[in-house]
Amino acid sequence: MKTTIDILRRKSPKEPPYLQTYTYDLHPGMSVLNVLEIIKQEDATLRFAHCCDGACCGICAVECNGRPGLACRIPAEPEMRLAPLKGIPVLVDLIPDRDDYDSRRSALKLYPSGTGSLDAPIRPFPAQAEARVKVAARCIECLSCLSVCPVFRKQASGFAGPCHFALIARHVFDPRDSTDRRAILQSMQPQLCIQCGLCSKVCPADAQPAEAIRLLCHQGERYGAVSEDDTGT
Amino acid sequence: MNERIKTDVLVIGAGGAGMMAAIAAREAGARVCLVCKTKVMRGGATVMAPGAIAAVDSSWKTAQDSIQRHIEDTLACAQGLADPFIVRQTAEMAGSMIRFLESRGALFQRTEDGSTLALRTTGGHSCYRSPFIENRVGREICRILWGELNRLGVQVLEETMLTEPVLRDGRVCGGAGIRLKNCQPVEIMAKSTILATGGAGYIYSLTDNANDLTGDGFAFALKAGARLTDMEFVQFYPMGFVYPSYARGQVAGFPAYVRLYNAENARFMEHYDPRLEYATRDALGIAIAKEVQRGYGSPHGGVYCSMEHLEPGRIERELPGLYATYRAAGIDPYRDRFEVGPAAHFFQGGVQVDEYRRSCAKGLYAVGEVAAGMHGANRLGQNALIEILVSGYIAGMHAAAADPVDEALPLQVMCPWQLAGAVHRNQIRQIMQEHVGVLRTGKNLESAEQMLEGLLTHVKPFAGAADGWEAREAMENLSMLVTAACVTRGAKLRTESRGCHYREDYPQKDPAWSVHLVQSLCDGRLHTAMEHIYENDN
Repeated sequence: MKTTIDILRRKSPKEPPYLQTYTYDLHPGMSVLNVLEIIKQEDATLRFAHCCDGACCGICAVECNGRPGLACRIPAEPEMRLAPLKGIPVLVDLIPDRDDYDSRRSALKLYPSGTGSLDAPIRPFPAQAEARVKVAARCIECLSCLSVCPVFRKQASGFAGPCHFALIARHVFDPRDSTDRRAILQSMQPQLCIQCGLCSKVCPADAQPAEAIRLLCHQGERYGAVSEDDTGT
Repeated sequence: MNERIKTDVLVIGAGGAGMMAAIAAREAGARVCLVCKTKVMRGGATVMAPGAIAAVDSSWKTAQDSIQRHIEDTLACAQGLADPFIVRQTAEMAGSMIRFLESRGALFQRTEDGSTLALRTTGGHSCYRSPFIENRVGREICRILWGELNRLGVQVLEETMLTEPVLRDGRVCGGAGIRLKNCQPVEIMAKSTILATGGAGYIYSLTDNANDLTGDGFAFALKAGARLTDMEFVQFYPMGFVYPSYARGQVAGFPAYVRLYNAENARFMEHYDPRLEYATRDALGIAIAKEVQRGYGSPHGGVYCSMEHLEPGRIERELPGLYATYRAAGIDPYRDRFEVGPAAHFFQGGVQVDEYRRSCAKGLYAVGEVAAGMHGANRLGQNALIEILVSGYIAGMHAAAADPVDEALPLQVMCPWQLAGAVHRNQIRQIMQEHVGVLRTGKNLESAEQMLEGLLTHVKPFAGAADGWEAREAMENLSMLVTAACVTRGAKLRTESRGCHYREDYPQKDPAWSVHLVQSLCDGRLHTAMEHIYENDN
């Protein structure tokens, strides 16, 4: 069926956004990304990011009809409205500028202290800790959660943003990792989270950032070297 | 003046192989510059890899398994064209790679009592031997390696595309290309250059590969004077979605979970292979393509995949990401059958390398999918992830210890070339899909070669672009064309069927073809030669 799609475009970060309407043939089983690719055949100036088309790379996240999600995983429907993710700077059209996010990420030190070894032992892993690490580690950093988080969007709050907590949580929940992360975590201000749960609702990878933040807050003073009690043994 | 950076080891490509190479070189004391045309973990094949990573180790192996069995399974699948030394080296170092990752915070799923690693298997393995984590093993590996790179303070240049080798007296001593953020030229000088650019599944229109897997390293290597080998062996993942377009090309199922049916509701693998869906990928892909050709395919050119026999809860528990895809595509996998077919998945061939992953071009190494040697005529499932780690580790260590470059020698920097336009990209992908796919004939390959040659007339020196996305596409198109030409040439010359190269006009394996087809650039033209197989030390 013939239908339209409105896309909120922007030529550069400095120029104002404008709405452009395209008409295309919608077929059953199409994703939003399929639609964008069809439009690009007609309008080569349209810019959107995509790579794996399989919900792994996390770069195709957009806002579709007011809700964030991966363009490769949102089923297309008639008369959609697409916009870049809210609250994230835009480079061009639907492509967010990730530089600020990336620099915040690198400050998290997402690695254990010490060095690696080719003959390190494989240690037993308590089931509850495994479940928690596994879930937090699903984050694909698509930034959808940042775009809906009411606390993150108040930039002045200093709240790190849900996905940052999911990223660091896997290290904190890992009983093998004795790195003291208290200072980093305190600077991320998890206590500002209002537990609205919006981040977990929009997460396409089911990384459950709200639960990660809740657990990190619950562990209170012991953010750093998490004892085995904290991880479920 | 061009931006110029000096380092010891230049690594091009930041998937698992590239990151591992960069870590190994840095740990060995070298200055390292890692260059990536996307942002790290936002592209490449590794981050998408779902399944598992084959590795036998005394700490988790099953009683009947051994490193020797892993070697034998790999060589059997490779049908005579793998390098037995590289296979043995990889199998022997596999356990230590898993241990290294775990020591840096990776989590591979444990058995129910938490005591050791849970294991998976797939077609062609004689034992359960592959650790895993849900269906995102590649992301877990990338995440850990990226953390290590940060810890080590390795210099990383993202959104930078190097397409041209920098040479001094014939020795590769770096790469040149474009910074995609501002379209400005950049040159990186190094004593060793490691190509880790992955394969080129994107030259096919039905693929599960990311759109950045365009064969850039194959083109780079040819220009540097290296040789490519076994390029005709492209593996098609037999169970990619062919419908709906929502998930077209993406991995739709795994042998351990599915049964395949044709349009007559027959479990057709019974007629092709006693292993049924556990057959190796080449056998499955050929069987599916033949069913479609016989007129027993599904409406969109595949066959039907069924998971109706699985107990409720298993799919979401063991394959949560895939389950989410099914549901979003409107599929209830416990009830609905869905259409699958062979999607371009992996390049077995690539840069010819030795045991240190050195190419014949001095100063140039190749690791991961861009290199040949480990997989021969057909890759055993779950062997790619372990190969990238071992090859990256070995090359990184060796490259760090290379002799310095004599900077008094004259410098030769070539300018990038391009094949601009989405129309050319689409043409290449269509030609490869229709003429150089799973079922091949001499006639089709001949016409593909002619059509690809026709596109050569549109190749021009790079003369700027509106922005980085346009520049990248134009340069990638050229890599795709070069790669497509190599695959087609190899497939046309190899008049037999072996592994994932299937010629309808030569359907049998021919012992006389137990040779490698080696391609190189000679006066700007592709030159092909036969080379005898590696000595079998197995």
